[in-house]
Amino acid sequence: MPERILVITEKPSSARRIARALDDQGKPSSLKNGSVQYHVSRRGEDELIIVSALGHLYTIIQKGKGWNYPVYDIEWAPTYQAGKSNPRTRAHINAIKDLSQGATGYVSACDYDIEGSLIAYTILLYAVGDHSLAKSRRMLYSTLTREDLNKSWENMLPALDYPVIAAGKARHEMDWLFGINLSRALSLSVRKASGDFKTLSIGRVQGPTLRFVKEREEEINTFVPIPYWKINAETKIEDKKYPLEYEKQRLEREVHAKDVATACRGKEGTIKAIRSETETTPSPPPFNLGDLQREAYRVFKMNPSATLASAEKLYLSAHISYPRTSSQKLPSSIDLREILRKLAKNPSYAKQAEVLLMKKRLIPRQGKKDDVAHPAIHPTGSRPRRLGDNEKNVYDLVVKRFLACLSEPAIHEKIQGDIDVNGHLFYLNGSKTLESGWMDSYQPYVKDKEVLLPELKVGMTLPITKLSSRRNYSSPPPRFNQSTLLRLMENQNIGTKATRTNIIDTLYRRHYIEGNIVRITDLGFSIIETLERYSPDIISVEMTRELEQNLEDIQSGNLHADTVIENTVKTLDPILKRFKENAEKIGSEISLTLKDMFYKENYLGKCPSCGEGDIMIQRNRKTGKNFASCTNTKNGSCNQTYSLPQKKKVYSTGQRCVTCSAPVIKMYYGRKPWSLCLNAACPTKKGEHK
Amino acid sequence: MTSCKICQRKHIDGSTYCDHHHTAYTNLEEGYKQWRYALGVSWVEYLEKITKTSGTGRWVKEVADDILSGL
Repeated sequence: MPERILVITEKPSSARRIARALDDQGKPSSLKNGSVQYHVSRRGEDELIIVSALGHLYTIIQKGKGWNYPVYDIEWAPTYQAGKSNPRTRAHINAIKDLSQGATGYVSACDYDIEGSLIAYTILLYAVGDHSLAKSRRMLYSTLTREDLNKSWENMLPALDYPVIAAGKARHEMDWLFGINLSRALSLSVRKASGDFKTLSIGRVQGPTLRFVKEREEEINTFVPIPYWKINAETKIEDKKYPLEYEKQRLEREVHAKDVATACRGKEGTIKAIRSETETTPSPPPFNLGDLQREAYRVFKMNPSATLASAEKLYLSAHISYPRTSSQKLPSSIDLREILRKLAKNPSYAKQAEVLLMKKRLIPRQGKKDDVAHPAIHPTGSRPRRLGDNEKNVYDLVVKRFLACLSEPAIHEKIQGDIDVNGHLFYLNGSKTLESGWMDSYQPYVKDKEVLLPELKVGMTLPITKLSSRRNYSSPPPRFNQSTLLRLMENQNIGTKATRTNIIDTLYRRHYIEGNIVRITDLGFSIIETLERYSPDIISVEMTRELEQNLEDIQSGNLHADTVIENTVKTLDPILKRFKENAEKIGSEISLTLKDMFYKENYLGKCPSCGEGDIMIQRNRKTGKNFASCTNTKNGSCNQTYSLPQKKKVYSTGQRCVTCSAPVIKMYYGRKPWSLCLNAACPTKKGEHK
Repeated sequence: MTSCKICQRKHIDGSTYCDHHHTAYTNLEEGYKQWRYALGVSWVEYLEKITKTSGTGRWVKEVADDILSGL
């Protein structure tokens, strides 16, 4: 009997691709329900109605009203009811309700991960109705290619993936309970202490992550560099210079360094021994998301969020496999030869692909990490036509890494000569490439540091043409960049591959951290320091890690989601009680920093009229316009005010106008700074008004 | 007096510095042992050099300046 099946996808672009792949003719009809596009595909006798969500259409809200804490009574509701930004979600919910009429079956075709499973589940439960759940099935796929999607349709799970859904639902509820309660507690503590309201946030993963940055800043601020010396020497063989390495990498005393320099400078060395060994460098494993983000940062300086966004675009256009994966493995179910055949049609990769196609067996280098849902990130072979710069870079990296992981190891011959110089031992090091192997496939992202030596013989004498000792200092630990911070989160097992990038972005958005080389702001520092004192559990890595483990246990069926949420409330309740007891102290410490920040951000200079007050940026509450005025205008002892440009952010320069003494401000046009005197009546501006 | 000699933070028991500057002071003392071994410098020479060395932590420089200003 012909069926009418409602297929729910995560995004409009994947709906189009799935509809084309599943339609017998590859030509589905595209129709509209209100403003929402959907597709009708014919598959045998069945009619498939394919409609997309826009990510999550349902979210968690508080039951009842009020902006206080603790809040434990929650429910799932449409995102538009929660005041979330996207108004189109209402249209999608209504369209899905309409299109579900007369459906005889339902398919979740969202991305195969926790979020995808939860998106389809909440839509089926709340928009279509709970009767749909018993008739729902789950498509599992890692690429949006026609072959994969058809295979996935034929091998669907007969029911929804409930353990994954339960883990996803619990994660959202847990994060909401932590995030909303702690953020309200922080914001309200500041209001209690200062009367001012400022939205502050802290979450289950945000707190420990920010703490890492704070601890690193403390290490840097309390660092004492220690001096050490390095001996730099050089020899010349057949008119070519070669560096010599002293037997000790570091000398701890200046007097020792001077002794070596005096003993060896201008002398000759004798080769006492020559060693050579073959070194094999295995090919790198294919990328998981973290590896890809780190490598894109290393070679292109791309932020992890930009890398993820580009990888997702490439996935949605079916050029690469699903990027949110932990796996560094390519299972045997993937047709590697077919991917190589397709890549061989692309001139950029043809040469390497053809070399690999000549191999009898293709055995990819596998990494240690695995993911039950998805393989490592790999190209599908489809040839991209027009890509933006970021997508082009990420695609090239993924393809070349894929080619590299299928290639042979690189083999080098390492040669080392022991040189005796007046009783001191130096090394002459060389390296010769015997087989470049995978390094050929991974150009230009790997450099082969070959140092070819002439023929060496024991007993040969070599002149020491250059010798110096140089004082160096030990360095403080480096500040994090987004890539190293991401790695630390991964190593500490906090957050997930899908959420870590967002957590870092939130820390930037809240002005807790700043810069590409991550620095903690005064506000971020103050929040962590205050919480360490009064509520250390909130920023405890151990607690966060334990909660992550609970979520994994739900997914593997070892723990019930309700138990985890009950435990979350049990954990959170004493934390919030203790927070409430100390709210005033917490609030007053943070509000001091906020006041200081506000002052720094808005101070433009000393008042030229009264000489005592400060010129500060102000906002007119009625008109919403910015202006600058002396702080003494409040007590009536000064009336100095200035109008300000409304569309540009104004910065202090710390300088005064040489003509009228008014503060000089700075604005940016693109990246170009422009300084000007604040006083519109300044004599220097007369020419401008004419 | 309840605040640190250098900043406005509360000083810790048994020290005239806050926890940040106290840690910096402890590290400064520890570092001197290695500097003396390496270069044979006096405490004052060490403090003068450390304030001019890149890589020295901000709080360490503040403590070194504070000690030097009291000499």
